[in-house]
Amino acid sequence: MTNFQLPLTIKETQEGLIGKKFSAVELIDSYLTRINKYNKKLNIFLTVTQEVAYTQAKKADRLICDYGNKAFADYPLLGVTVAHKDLFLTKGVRTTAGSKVLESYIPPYSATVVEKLEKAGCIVLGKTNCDAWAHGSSGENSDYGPTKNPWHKEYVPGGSSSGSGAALAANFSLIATGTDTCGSIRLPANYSYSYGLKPTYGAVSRYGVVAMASSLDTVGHLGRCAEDMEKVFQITKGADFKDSTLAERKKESPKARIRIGIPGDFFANGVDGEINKNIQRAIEIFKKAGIEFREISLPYTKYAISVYYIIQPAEVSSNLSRYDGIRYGESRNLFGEEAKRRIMLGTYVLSSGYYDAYYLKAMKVRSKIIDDLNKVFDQVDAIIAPVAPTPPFKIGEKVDDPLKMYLTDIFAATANLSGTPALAVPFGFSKEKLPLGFQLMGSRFSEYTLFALAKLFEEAAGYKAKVANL
Amino acid sequence: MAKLSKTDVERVAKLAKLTLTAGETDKFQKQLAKIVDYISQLEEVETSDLRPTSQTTGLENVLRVDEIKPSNCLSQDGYFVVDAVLINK
Repeated sequence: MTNFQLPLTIKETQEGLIGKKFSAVELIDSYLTRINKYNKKLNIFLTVTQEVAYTQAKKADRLICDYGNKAFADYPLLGVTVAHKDLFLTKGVRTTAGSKVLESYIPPYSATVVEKLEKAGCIVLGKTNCDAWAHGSSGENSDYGPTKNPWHKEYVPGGSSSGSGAALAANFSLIATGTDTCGSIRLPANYSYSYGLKPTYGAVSRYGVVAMASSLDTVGHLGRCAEDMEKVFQITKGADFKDSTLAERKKESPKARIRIGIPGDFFANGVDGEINKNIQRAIEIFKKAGIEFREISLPYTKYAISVYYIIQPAEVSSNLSRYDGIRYGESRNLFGEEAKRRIMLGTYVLSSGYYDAYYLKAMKVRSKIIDDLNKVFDQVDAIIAPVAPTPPFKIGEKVDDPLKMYLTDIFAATANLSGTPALAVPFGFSKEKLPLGFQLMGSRFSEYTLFALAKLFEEAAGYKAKVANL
Repeated sequence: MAKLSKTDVERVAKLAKLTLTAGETDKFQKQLAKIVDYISQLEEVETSDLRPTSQTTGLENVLRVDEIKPSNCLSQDGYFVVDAVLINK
């Protein structure tokens, strides 16, 4: 095998391919060697799609050989390796949703996003571990065992897209897909020193992705720089006439002067000191780059987790009712503890006598939270906030206390309840050398403003993509 | 709001077609009671003049043209023929 370092960005990958530093097949050799060596220890991939990867890599090599640089015009993501969260249906490749109920399920079709990425030239390396049915914030609810954080194996990688975040930290793939119902992309991105995009509800198709809570679920991705995040979004977004919640929007250019809001309510509520200080540092960097800041107030977001833990389980109980052991996979007895908890909680808040007190009430407070946010976006173009209240925590630390685990997502919930986009940005490390960062939240369909802000920040902070030493 | 009881857990499990062991019922009762206790904080919010939000897109009745596509047609002798879905065990 030739000797080269695995590229960390799309640009490095495509320059390497065109400059003959490596071929796509050699790239796959290199990734697979790494995966075969470390995957057992880290539990990142549930399925490695070696055969598919080599077929796609050979095609990429042929295209580059025949068309040179022009190949990238028709295939903007040519040679880009991707790891799909095991919630995304992949034709002919087992898809488990992290649950034993679907242990033997082989989908007859692929999710829209899987198809779009393949058409754009991506190479699929495999399917990543996740909390079963995407229920969790740590990866520990997977029926296939927890994923370890490559930065420190005693810590969680964040969930529920646990394997997708860890795949980037371990340098098992260039990009990864994920789903975000309440932080499930942003948290693993944040805990793995990657970018994670939770797009606007209605921007990216969810067709062929196992449903969790349908009014909150979004499909996004993880990558290692702002430019890559934008390049992938450019491919994944847009109507497919299969997911009827999608709206086509013209690309809106960000304003010349961007103003960011600092939500005092978020920082007042038990944010870890190190995270707080780190975000203050980020704010100073933004200020030096000419960004204006303003204090804002989101008083009703303190109810976000309560609203979320009524609406989400209600929708979960409905979505998981289709797993009756007849149409898909195994019997309901194979649901893990967390799935059972959420099905029961959802059934409870929807049941006769409780519907008005919980479900209807939560839907009304949701309106209040959205109203809060709309008012704020009249004054500012984006909001800076922590992704989670603490840096990565230890495996086992929160497993016996579901409520404590749920509160991990206290800062994530607002974007999902309001259907607005948010981008997790990596920045700095804790004293324990664990990844830190923040999220930039925007108004509906303002993804390009978030990318522009992240690019400006990369430049100002001297950001460099990093992966863990294994 | 009344505290979530063991009977509630058993009733809800039955409604959701879940079979619980005695140990699970006890464990879930404690955990779910704590969660229900937390989410009951919504009682303090005044919501009488608010409309409920069930979706955030604002879209209504999204329709597409009803075209006949080969992939949506009966493929063989009046049946849909597809590959086996559950094969590996």
